[in-house]
Amino acid sequence: MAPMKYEEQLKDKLEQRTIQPSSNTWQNLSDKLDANESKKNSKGFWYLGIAASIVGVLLITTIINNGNTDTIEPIIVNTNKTDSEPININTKDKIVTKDKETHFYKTEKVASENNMKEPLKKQRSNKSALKQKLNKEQHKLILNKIDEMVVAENSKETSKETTIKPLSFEEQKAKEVVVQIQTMQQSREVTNAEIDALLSAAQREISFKRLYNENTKTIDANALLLSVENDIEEQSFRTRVFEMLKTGYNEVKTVVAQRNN
Amino acid sequence: MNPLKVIQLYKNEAQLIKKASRNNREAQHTLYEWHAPKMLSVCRYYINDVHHAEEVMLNGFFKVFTKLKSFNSNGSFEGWIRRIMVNEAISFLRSKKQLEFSSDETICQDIATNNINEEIDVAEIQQLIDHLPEGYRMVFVMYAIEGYKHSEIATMLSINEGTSKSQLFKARQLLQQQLKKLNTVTHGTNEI
Repeated sequence: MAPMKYEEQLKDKLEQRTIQPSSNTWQNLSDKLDANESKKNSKGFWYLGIAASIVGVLLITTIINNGNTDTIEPIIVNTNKTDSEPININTKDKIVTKDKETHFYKTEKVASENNMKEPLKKQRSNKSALKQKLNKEQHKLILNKIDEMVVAENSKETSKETTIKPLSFEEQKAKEVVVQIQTMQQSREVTNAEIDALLSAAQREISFKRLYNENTKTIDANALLLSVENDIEEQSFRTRVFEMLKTGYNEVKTVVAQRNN
Repeated sequence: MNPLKVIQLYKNEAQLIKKASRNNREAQHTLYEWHAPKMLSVCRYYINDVHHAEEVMLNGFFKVFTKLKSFNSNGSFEGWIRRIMVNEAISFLRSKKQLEFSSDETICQDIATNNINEEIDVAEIQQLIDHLPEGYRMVFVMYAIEGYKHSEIATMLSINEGTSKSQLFKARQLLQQQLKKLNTVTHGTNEI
């Protein structure tokens, strides 16, 4: 259906027409647009608020979760510390005091021996001095070794989280040995061999106590293996010390012999 | 119009559209000032009452400025606004339940093509259109004045193409009768 001529004329005439809107229409439109913008902003604010609250909730939950793990861990650590730390200090101190005591007795014995020998043979004074020196070295080495052992024992004990019981047993044994030595000293002179025998007996008892679990009535295989290894090491250490003493003694002997000659 | 002036105007309009899309009220005001008189006239084609036409125009401009970011700058801005105004007018008439289309589809025949009397006023033409029933008027304006095709009109008004054609035919018939009457009254002749 083609447009008619009069329609085109109508169209032309109507197209040329313009109607001026009333003066306040723009103001109305502007107000409407402002209201819409504020609405949009408020909507945006709400969306922002919702997003912020979600983020906040997530943060809080993560913090709470982290906080929980944090609070759990220190509890475990604290219990370990409270159990192990004072014990370690005590045992160390006590074992060191025990060692000091034995060292004191050993040096005393050496001194008494030297006092006895000095008036008898003056020539041997040098030897005894050298022996003393060697003994001191030996004592030092033994002390170091004992310290190492103590440290190793302590580390083992802390790792295994052992209770106070075996340690108190050790303490008790150390006290017993000290008392025995003191009683022996009061009655007569105590030799190194006797002290060593007492100490080794105590050591054996302690190590057996450590190996043997009374509750389960079983022997800890790992502990046994470890103690055997320690014995081997100790033996080798002992032989090394004796060899050192031997060589040292031979050297001194030859020096003295040469000088006398 | 000088082509350089047209280019200048186009450039200015493009800049104003950009600014207006960023909610620059001044730019929006300028665009409104440029297009409002024409758009009010367009709204007036469809709506009898000028105040209602103004209301529709304002709603149309509100949509224009709020949806300005979706305007494709390749097309004509005036054409885009005009389409919004037509849709707004259709929505307004629908909301007032004034838009009714008779379902009878008559066979359309071409009516005698005559020239319109030169002395006829735009206001008189508007009056003639105003006297048409809403359905007839809507299709007639969309087809004859706005230049939409029947298929487009059918889609926009949610009617059949046949209904659109029959509405146009009836609108033309009525309009010619009215023009004849007008000529008889004013010029003493029944020729259009």
